[in-house]
Amino acid sequence: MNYLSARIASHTFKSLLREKIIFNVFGVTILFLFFGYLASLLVYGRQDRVMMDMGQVLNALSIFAVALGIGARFLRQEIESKTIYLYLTRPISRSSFFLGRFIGMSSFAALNFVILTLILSAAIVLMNGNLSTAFLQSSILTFVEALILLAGALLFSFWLRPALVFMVMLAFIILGHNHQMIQSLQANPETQSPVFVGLTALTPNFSLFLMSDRVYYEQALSAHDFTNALLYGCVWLFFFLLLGNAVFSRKNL
Amino acid sequence: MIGVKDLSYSSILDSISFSLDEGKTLAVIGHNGAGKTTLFHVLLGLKFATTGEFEISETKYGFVPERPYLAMEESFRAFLTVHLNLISFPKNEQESEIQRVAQQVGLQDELHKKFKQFSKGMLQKSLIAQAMLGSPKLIFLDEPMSGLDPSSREETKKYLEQLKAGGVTLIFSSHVMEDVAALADQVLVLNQGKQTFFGSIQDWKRGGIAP
Repeated sequence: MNYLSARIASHTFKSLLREKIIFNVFGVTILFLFFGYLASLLVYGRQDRVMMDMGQVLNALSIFAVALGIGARFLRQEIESKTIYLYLTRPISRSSFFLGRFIGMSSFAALNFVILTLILSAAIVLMNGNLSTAFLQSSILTFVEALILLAGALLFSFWLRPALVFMVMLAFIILGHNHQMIQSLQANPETQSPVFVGLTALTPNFSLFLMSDRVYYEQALSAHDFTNALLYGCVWLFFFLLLGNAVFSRKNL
Repeated sequence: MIGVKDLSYSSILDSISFSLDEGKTLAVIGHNGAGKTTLFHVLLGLKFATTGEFEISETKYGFVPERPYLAMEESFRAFLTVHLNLISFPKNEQESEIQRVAQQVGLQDELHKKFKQFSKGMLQKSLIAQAMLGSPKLIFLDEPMSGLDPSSREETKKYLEQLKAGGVTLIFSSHVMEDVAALADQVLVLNQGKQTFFGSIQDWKRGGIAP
């Protein structure tokens, strides 16, 4: 990342801090976490695990909503309102600008995620729970998944309206989390179809990032498996970013 | 400073050629839809020419768009700071540069205000101030005086005259012949994307070539 990308990233981050809608998502999630806490009080036994389970799902939903919300809107809005013109007439390449915007959005999503994870962690500790390695791994993989969704939303936002981007990315999430089921359908001679091959090839396998059972039973991934999952996520992230950058760099504004 | 040869863009611009020396002022004139804004956008890299080529010797230049394309929630100071960062202006000199350009357009007391609190004339002045950051040698102005009241028009004209006197190369588009006659050294006339005249202001006045 060069100096100009860093300046754009910082500007993006500050601009996003002004967006009240993101704070609404944040507020709603904290409210849900509170309900998760109340629900866990109704359970006999390991209340902390119920809180952890619910909290992680809510945390993931929140960060996905934030990633899709900003990815689908931010750059598209700048292009439509033409506020992007003044930035791009400065001596900054489109690639640096695109990278800066993505880093700024990622930083904002990271801030949101870190705060929510800290709140969830505090709630678990207060309920005498244990913050396991699996919990940490799960949190990191959830964030990587959010970054992939952000980069994907950014890419599709060049062609589609935010509502459609949201729907496309929702399809990515659903298909991505059901890769194993699609693969088993493909493995069965009676249900085999080229459509299944296409679906698994064109969507990231998010089931690699799904660790809710492991978190519940405190079974961390081996360093090898965790690294592989991270690398797999990075490949998809870079794929979306490179494609997004290629489209943006050739776009007539 | 600028050389343009057979530049075309889609069906909007057709084979535009001209050149402009340092310190000179070029007026691009034509009716609505003649391709003035598109020509600016191609030269500024916002759109990619279909055919032809152009060369601009300056890498740092200012741009005043035809409308105030600004994030209305942003303050004038924050806006200028972002643009100073983008031209890699030294941090320790940024405040004095902000004061300088704000003072030049008479908005030195409005730096803390958000754009949504600005009038149209003030927005236009903000854009001119932004274009003057870092004292560029070349400034593009797309219809800088359109939609302004008479006093704001006169003020804008005054800023442009000051820039011109300071040796800045200006390229501006306009509908108003009186502004063209007052500011331009050279004139480029566009009609439905085609170049119908390029030459000195004297030749243009003699020929009486209308857009």
